[in-house]
This record gives sequence, C-alpha cells and structure tokens, in this order.
Amino acid sequence: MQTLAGWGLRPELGKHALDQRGFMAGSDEDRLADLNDALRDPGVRAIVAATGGAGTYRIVDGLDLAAVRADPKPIVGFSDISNLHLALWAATGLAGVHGCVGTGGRTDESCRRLLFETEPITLSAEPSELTIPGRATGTLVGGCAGAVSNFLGAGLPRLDGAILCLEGPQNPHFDRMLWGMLRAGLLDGIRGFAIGDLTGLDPSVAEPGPDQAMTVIRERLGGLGVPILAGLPFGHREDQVCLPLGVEAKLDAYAGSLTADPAVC
Amino acid sequence: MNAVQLNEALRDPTLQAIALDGDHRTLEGLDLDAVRANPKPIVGTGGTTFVHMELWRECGLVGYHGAGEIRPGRLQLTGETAVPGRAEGVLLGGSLGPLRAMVGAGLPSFDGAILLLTGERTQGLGQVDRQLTHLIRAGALNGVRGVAVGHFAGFDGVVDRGWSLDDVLTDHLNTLDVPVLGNLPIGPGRPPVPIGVHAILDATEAVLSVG
Repeated sequence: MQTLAGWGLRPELGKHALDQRGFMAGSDEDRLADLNDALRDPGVRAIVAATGGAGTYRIVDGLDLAAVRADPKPIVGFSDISNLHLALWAATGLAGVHGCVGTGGRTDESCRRLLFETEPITLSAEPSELTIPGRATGTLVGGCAGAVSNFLGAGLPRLDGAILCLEGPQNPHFDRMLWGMLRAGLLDGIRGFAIGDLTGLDPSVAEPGPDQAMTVIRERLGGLGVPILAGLPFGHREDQVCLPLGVEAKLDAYAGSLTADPAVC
Repeated sequence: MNAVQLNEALRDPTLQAIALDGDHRTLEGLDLDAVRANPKPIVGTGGTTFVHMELWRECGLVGYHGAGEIRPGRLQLTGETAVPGRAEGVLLGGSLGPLRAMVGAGLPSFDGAILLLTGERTQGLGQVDRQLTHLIRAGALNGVRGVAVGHFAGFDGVVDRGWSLDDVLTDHLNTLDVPVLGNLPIGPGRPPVPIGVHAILDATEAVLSVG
C-alpha cells in the first residue's frame, strides 16, 4: 500500500482482505462482496490483489458485470487472480494487469506505467529454445495456465484472434491442460503464444512429475503454424514485469518483443 | 501401456480383460471399432478414468475402477453417511483430476447418474478445490442424483491452514443437494467396481449397491 500511496493514490483495504477461511482469505460471500463493492464504487479506479488470490475461481460467476460494463477499471494480480481477468475479459472485454505491486524494481515500475501512461509497453524476451519465429497481432488473453484451463467448457470462448499468454509454476499436469485446450477447440483461430515464466515450483506439488512445460508446449503448440515467443519476463518470478491483458498487442518472435497497449480503461 | 499397445490389446481376441495405467495420451487413436466388436473390461484408476469416460461416451463400454480381479455379481459396499438420502442411477465417474481435465473436452453427461469420485494427490487441497469448482461451474454435475466418494490416495494427514480433504469435499458436495456417501472402499489400490452400470446409493444406510 505504501507503493500505491507513493504514486499519489489513496489505497483502501477491502473490508475482508485480512479474513481467513481455510486456505482462502475469507468466505466466498465476503470476498465477492468486497470485490463487487470495489467494482461499483466510482471512487475506486483500480483493484490491486494483495496476494495470489486462492479461491478466486470460486467467485467468478458472482461478479457484478453490469458495474464492470458501466465503469470499467483494471484489476492488478496474477496466479489465481488470472481467473478474474479471464472471467471479466470473456464477459465484458475488460483489460487488466498481470502482475503485482509492492515488490519494487521493474515490477512496480511496469505496473505504474501500465496504469498511468498511455504509451505502449514493450516486454523483451530472453532467448529461449521454445521460441518459434513469426509475427502476430491480437488481443492478449490468459495468464496463469491453470486458470485458463479452469474455464474450459466454463465460460471462455474459442480464442479466435487472440495471443494466448501462459505462465505458471511447474505443474504435473501441464500436458493435460494443453491437451484439454486443444481438444475443447479453445485454440482454434489463435494468432500466437506469449510464454512467461515456467520455472517456479508450486509449493503444494507433491512431485513435479514428468511433464516438463517447455517440452509439452513445443509438442502441443509448436505445430499449430503460429509464432511462439517464450522467455518473456512475466509470471511467478521475483522480478516479474507486469503484462497488460485484454489489449491489442504485436508479438514479434524474430525480434523477441511483445508490444502492447497499456491497461488504462 | 501407450495408445498403440492398448489398441493391440483391444484387438487381441485371446485377452479377456485389460489392466491399464492410462492417461489423456492414451485416447489418441483409440480403436473404437475394436471396442465395439469385442468389448472387454479395462481395469484401472487415476488416468485410466480418461479411457473409461471416453469409451463409455463413444461405445457404452463398462469400465472397472480399481485394481485387481473383477468380482462377479452384485457388489454391496459400505461407507459413511455424509449427506443422508437414497438415489438410483448409472454409476459414472472415477478419478477427479481426469474428470475435471475432460470438462469441455469430451466428458460424458452425468445427468441421472450416481457420481463416483476418487483421487490421487499430485498437488495440495487447492487443486481439489479447483477441480470440483470447475466441474460444478461448467454444469458437468447437473442432474447428478447422488455422490459416492471413494479413496483419495495421499491426503492422509494433509491439513492446510485448518482444512483437510474432507472440508474441501464437504464444502462443494453438500451444495449439490443430493445424497453423499463417503469413505467407500473404491479407488487406488481397492478392488474394481464397474462404471456404467446401475447402482443404488443409500447414504442413510451407508450402502452402495452396484450391478
């Protein structure tokens, strides 16, 4: 909150932000009420998630979509917060910010730029064996890979004309998730893939399993005839760069760059 | 056993049953004509649920969820009452992870079914919570008449900020407004139970009758 105040904002904490119910920050009803209060409050200009948002997938069907349409405002977060980004983008086209605030460095600076400035932002990729050359334009959609799979058959249409952004800690079921996306037809008409950090280890994973995300992305997505730009610095890493979602972007896998409009609504 | 080996087994007239450790990859190129021409039971848990659900949907094949020899006749299994009540229907389902992974990607309808849920721990309680949330949000459990909860391997003693597996299961299954029978001897390392046959779930008396 100090960081936000330092940007000249007046941060307010949700009523139930410090609650706890099991591994979640309070009951579904209370967390949803906080979120909808913020979506409806004309004085609130952005919503910033305090943590990863465990249990967010449970409340996505109760969001006040009319309030979002009437007064769109970006949500900043990642990990399970990707569920909010996906639900609200699918229903209303809302733009958002994949990332966080308060860890300092380029993470905070990229978030500030996305929220305050109107100039496009460019993310530069580190060299990756996974990159498949090409160029694409499209709407940036996605975030945490597990969250994308939460919406198969459950509210996410085919991503015709989109660039799918995927990141996530090591997951024993990465191949299964990509298989599901392909089998469900989600990736029909996809323009390209922007791949972020895949190296983190989910602390809840009993063992990482045989599916190496890099390998299965290459196997499943490498033959679709669209570019893949991997090694992008967004995702579950300490110095992540914030990524705008729901905005138009140019992916240049030759140059290793992803240039996107900011997330100002 | 991969998809090629499974197809060879499906086509082999000398085989009476197949013990399978399957996954989603096993579905690629499955020989459905061979299944229809010579249906034979496939026994397994975990990722084999992918194969059970696919072949039930495509061919009406009865699969066997469990390990070991198939027991003839009607099965009477005792569990623990979670939500009392009585329901009848076709027993369908299996391992939660694969069921969730097939949502929007070929999961058969469970309308009118008794849902069997078992599991294996590959991640924490949050994963079970995501899986059940996805099934329910997608409407995949619409029309389910009762839930038979079997064994979830690897969750003994797992507590995350005060919640156990039972807390996560109860939190979702109790919202379905159908009878729920827990702690049944079905699942990983348990004797096989047929999937795709008529069953009576008496959660009040804590008995599941299958076949």
